[in-house]
Amino acid sequence: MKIKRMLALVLAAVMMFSLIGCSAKNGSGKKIKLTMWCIATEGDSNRGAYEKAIDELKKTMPNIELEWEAIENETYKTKIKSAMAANELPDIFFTWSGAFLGDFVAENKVYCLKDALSKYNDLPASMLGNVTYADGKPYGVPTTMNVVALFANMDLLGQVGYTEVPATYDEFIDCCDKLVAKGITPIAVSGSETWCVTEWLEPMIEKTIGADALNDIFRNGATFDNAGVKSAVDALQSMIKKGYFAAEGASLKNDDVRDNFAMGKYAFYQNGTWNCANFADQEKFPGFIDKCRVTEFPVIDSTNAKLGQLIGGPSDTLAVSASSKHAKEAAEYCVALGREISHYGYLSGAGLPAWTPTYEANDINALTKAVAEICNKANAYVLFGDTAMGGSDKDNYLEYVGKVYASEVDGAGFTSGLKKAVR
Amino acid sequence: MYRKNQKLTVFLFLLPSLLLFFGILIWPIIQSVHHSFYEYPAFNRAGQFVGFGNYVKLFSELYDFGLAIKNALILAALSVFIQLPLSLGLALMLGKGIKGERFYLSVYFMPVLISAVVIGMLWEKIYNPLYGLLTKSFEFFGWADVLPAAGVLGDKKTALMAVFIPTIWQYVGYHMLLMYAGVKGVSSELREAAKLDGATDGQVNRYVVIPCIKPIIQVSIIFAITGSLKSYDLIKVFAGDAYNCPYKVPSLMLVRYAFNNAGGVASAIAVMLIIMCFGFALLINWLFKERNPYGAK
Amino acid sequence: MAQNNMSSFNPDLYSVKKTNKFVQALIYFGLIIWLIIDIFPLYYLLTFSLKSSEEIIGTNVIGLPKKWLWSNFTRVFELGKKTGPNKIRHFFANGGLEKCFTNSVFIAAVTIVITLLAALMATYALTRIVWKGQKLLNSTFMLGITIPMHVALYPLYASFSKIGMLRTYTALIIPYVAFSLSMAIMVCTGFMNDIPKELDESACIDGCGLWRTFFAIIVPLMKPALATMGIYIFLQCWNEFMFASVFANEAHYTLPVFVANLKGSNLTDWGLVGAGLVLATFPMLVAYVFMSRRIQESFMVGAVKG
Repeated sequence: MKIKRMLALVLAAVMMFSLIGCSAKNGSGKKIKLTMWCIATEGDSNRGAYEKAIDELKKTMPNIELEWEAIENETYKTKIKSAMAANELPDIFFTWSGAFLGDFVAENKVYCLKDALSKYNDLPASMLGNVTYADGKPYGVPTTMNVVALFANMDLLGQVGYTEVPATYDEFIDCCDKLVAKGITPIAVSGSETWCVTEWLEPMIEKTIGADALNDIFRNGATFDNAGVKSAVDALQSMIKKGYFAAEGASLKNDDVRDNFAMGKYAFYQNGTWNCANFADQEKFPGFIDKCRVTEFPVIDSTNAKLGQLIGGPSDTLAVSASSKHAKEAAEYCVALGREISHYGYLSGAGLPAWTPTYEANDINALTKAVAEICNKANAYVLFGDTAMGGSDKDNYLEYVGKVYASEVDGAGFTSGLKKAVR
Repeated sequence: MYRKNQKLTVFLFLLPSLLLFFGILIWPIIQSVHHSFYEYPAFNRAGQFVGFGNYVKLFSELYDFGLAIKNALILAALSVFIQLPLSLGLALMLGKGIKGERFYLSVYFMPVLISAVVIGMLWEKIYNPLYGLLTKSFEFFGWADVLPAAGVLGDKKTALMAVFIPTIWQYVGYHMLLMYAGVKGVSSELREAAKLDGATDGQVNRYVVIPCIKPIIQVSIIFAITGSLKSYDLIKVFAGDAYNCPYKVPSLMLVRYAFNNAGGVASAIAVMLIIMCFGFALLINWLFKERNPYGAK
Repeated sequence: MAQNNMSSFNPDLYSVKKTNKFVQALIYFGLIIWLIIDIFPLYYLLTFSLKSSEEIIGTNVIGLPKKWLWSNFTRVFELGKKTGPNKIRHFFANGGLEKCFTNSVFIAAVTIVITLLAALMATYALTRIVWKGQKLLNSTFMLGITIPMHVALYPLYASFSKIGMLRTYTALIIPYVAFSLSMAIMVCTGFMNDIPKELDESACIDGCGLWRTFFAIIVPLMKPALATMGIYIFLQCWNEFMFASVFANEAHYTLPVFVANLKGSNLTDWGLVGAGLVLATFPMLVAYVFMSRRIQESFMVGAVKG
């Protein structure tokens, strides 16, 4: 009996100590340090949202101390991939959904967020489609949602008699022809940043072959060798040939093109809706927001495609490294952070929220509101091609898009080349 | 002198260099050769053995490595046939003993000290097709039509030249300095003698000075060619994230593919680069050995 | 050594009499043209770093700034730092121009010291001690001069990541040292051959060991060579971009990476980018004004000594 009592005492003591130990760990005394990498550098439209969200979480999750670093987009892609290979991912990292995160998940480098996400009910399940992989579990927190949209300068369109943005493809072409005749450059795209060319090419393909067919090509291994793709590429090239695209675009960077559009140099600019915040910036471009309209690209071939089929989706994502020392805490923090960034990003016009708004959002800028309208009517999204495809497929795809822009290959060359090069 | 019984000492003296040299230079080369025969489906994880498959792939329409090599060779040729004669000309002019020669020399050499990244960004601004210095000054003189509408970096015909000009701007001073030192090193008696025989300045340069500085010219040529093959920083600044870039060079492709799950292809590019650099160095040494009447240095 | 003759050479002896006025004028013309070509882009940079975007884009492309915008420069110092109260605490800890500058200086300094030491020791063994295979090893080292640094990028990245050395100063310093080594050995060989062999021999007779001979006799005599090579190596690391951008992280970024990052999100803010470029470049140019001869010599010696 003595021994039993002793044992019970010892056990009780152990339990006591462990309880004390636990509570000490959970107490406010010990802060958990987490690291995060993202691309919200000073000039990035999401910068403000990140800063506000992190400040907000300092209040609601005071036991977490976040050290974060913002790296310029282009460098970031190399850096995050190489960090993944070297098992040196930070606790929380920014990533793009689809294949970009998928490559990481396939290497078992990402912590599953199923549990952390289950505490919230304001994230629609549809937003998790691009971060859910083979095992059916979510591995990322979508923050903002962006689509490709056509921005138009109504001042310039007004000069050729258009008071509305052309609603059909024929009108669009007619409008561009009139602009060219008037000596106004209709369109500018940055040729030296190939992803910007895809912002033209992908909507045109989608509005020719339809969202399902394009999705099959990007994500389900269907071949690029498709008559619709070919004709869309040829249509883009005929636009280039007819001089719709500003020639100087070939050596301008996207920021240059965007700012020049906002200064009234070009009539149309097609790019992600994260640009709304920029165009709404009264300090930088006074009065521009009143001239600017945003809409989706018109349908080219209505047999398969229709309005409401968009390129884009919740692509900006936060994820947690599987090798994180505090993976569980990091996951909770990451989900909360993603939710806040969604909130503040929406308010600042950096994109639409991936999370259902539980707050008043009346004073967002008119452009973002218009984008929300477009998305409300949307019935299908196809993820950006360079996000949907991974690894060398993405490179090969972009390489051919570059060739299309430089008029080195035509539609037939594009489809037959990519048929061989992708998968 | 010392005998061979000091093997250990010799070894210890050489150890740091040997470790660094073989660990950081030679071992990666061997690894590159090895990597270049494999596929890399993920970074740093070897896949299937493909033999020379990566090399064959490089020259396909997709990678178009031929264009990169062609560009690198054109850049090398431009360096040798435009940059070096320019440097030689400046060196000969300065070497004659001109008022303020130190001043000229110092200013000419200045761009060498500037980082290629800075030079790239500066010249990108100069070339900007809307607001750049070049564009604006051509507009001022009413020659706006001379420049390609796509901007000098965007037009296929001018892109390579546009990449080359900042390189000359930066490195003429360097080669000029080397040659200037050589010109100053030609003994004055030799020049005197030629002058007394009635040689003009041009003849002195042609028959006395240039043959004397041949070894330096040889070094300059090697530096110019290997420098062009290695050039990366400046071109990377111009190219950014562009695909199908008209002025792409091997090093640009190498860095892109190294981290995009194409390690095998990147390694194949590395191997080709090394072969080219060695090849040119040997070729130039051989050319000068054959032709140099004064013999190798 | 070529420069030695420079002082004993008197240009008045021969060139004055035969050069005619026209040729003389032509020469000055050529020299001044190149002078302008050299200086003008730098002048352009300096002026646009002080202008507002409106001036740069249209009203005043080439002239001096109408309104001197020094705020462009103060804005550069705010870049790369996180806003908020942490900014001050992390003055030297997270990015920013000062941090990159100190990183550059530190990395260059350590690289110079290690390279010089390794090169001196190797050269000593290669030139002053007789042993088999000396020539072969020397020419192997010389191969290093032509090897482009890029080829080591992928393999080194893979091995550094395996041993967890990425994102440290060492990850940059080691490749820098290795790739400066060949040139350093070559230059050292040239200088060391100028030191009379009798010195070592008499030291040997006096009972000096190899190590003592090296540190007490050779190293002090090599001082001028060290300074010359130091400058050369310094500029090589100072300007290196590729390894610095791939192997380092924010805490270890060097100036060229800072400069390249300027472009990322501030592309259309020419004044800011210009100010960043000026701040990254002009310290070096100022140093050059004070030691131009030394710096020129260090670049010359690499080619001439070979």
